[in-house]
Amino acid sequence: MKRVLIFVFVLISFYMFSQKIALVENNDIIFSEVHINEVTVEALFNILSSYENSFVPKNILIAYYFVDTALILDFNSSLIQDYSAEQEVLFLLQVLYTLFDNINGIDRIYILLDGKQTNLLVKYINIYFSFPKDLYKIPN
Amino acid sequence: MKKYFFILFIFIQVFIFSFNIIIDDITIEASEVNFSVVKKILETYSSFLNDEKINFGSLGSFSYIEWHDKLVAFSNEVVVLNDSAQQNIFIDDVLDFFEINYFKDDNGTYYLATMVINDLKDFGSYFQIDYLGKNSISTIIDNDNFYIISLKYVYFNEKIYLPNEVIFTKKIQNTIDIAFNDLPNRIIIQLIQTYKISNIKFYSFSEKVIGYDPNTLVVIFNNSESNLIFVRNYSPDFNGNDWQRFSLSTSIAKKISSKFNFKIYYIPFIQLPLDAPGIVIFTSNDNWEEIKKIIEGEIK
Repeated sequence: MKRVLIFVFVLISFYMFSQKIALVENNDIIFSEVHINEVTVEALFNILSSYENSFVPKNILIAYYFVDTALILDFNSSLIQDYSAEQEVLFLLQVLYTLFDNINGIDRIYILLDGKQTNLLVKYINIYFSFPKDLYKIPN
Repeated sequence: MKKYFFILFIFIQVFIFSFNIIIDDITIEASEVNFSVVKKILETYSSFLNDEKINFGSLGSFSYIEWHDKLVAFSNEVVVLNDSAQQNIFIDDVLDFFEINYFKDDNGTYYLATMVINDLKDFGSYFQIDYLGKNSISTIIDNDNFYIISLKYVYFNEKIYLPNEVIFTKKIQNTIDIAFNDLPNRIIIQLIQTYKISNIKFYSFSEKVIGYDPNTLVVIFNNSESNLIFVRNYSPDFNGNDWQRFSLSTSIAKKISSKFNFKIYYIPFIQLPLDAPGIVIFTSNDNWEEIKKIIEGEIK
């Protein structure tokens, strides 16, 4: 009985203190639960880039800033410049879903490349305007 | 007597050669063109425009200022503009040399452009203005005409516009309001229209999306192994003015999604217009022909 209770406790703890992140499977986004000791923007990017089924490269994040309810992410463009349209989409969705789900107090995300506000993420996606939290919620 | 003539001569010199530079609400008064005056003007103006900062220093008997890859150097005897040495220069020469846009009034006062418009793009029912300086324009609609008016000194298309001049005009229809979004160095002006889908245009993913109007449903196809539909997200930057375009596009996407079991994601593909409903579909060629028929059926 004691063993069952411990198992249930561990399960509940994992569920309560785990984070959902977005990964890639069969050219689509899937959501996975992981445990992160300290949830920070940097930690989330480290986790995302540690998976094989992820289009978030290591060291993609140059810097990040919080301004009121906005999170501003600054990416190293050279690490994604060869991405296809599909890869560009999946990379962006991984970032938006994961950060909106785990970072509290933000309602929009802006993306900069190499410190500058630009039109294109790679070739196809316009990143000049901010992304709203409401459209990138991980389903329960 | 000689002393009086000398004082009078100095007074006339100062009066003739003194000038004012006005940059919005900043006034720089000067009576001669020297290193410190030019440095002050360029420093103030580059900071006002939030443009490249000046470099300055000394080299032998010359004090120099460098800005936008152009160099002016002052010594006691001459002023050098890049490679051209001159004995006497006026402030007009310096402003022209650095390609600073200004209006000079009859009293010899120089009004520098408070807004330098580098680009004005017309996307049909919205306009994108990239500029340096301070937003110095306003917009009005009168008799189905849209006007952009200068509020201060605005440089655009190789011309300086004085306050209250028409910078840009366009014939418009069905516009119920104007939304003005002032972003860093960019203004987005939206003509708020009511959308009612009356026709469809199909494009391939690599094709340029042209020849549509706000009542056109833009459908873009990409041959792919994925089965996904994309709608351009609304953005908090538009304060809800892109909501109608977003919800119309989403409702079409949901209809296709329910018939084909495709997932919907919100991605602002550069091909999707801001001023017309539209979707991007990633699927196989086989599915595409069937989807086209269904969309055409929905619009009829």
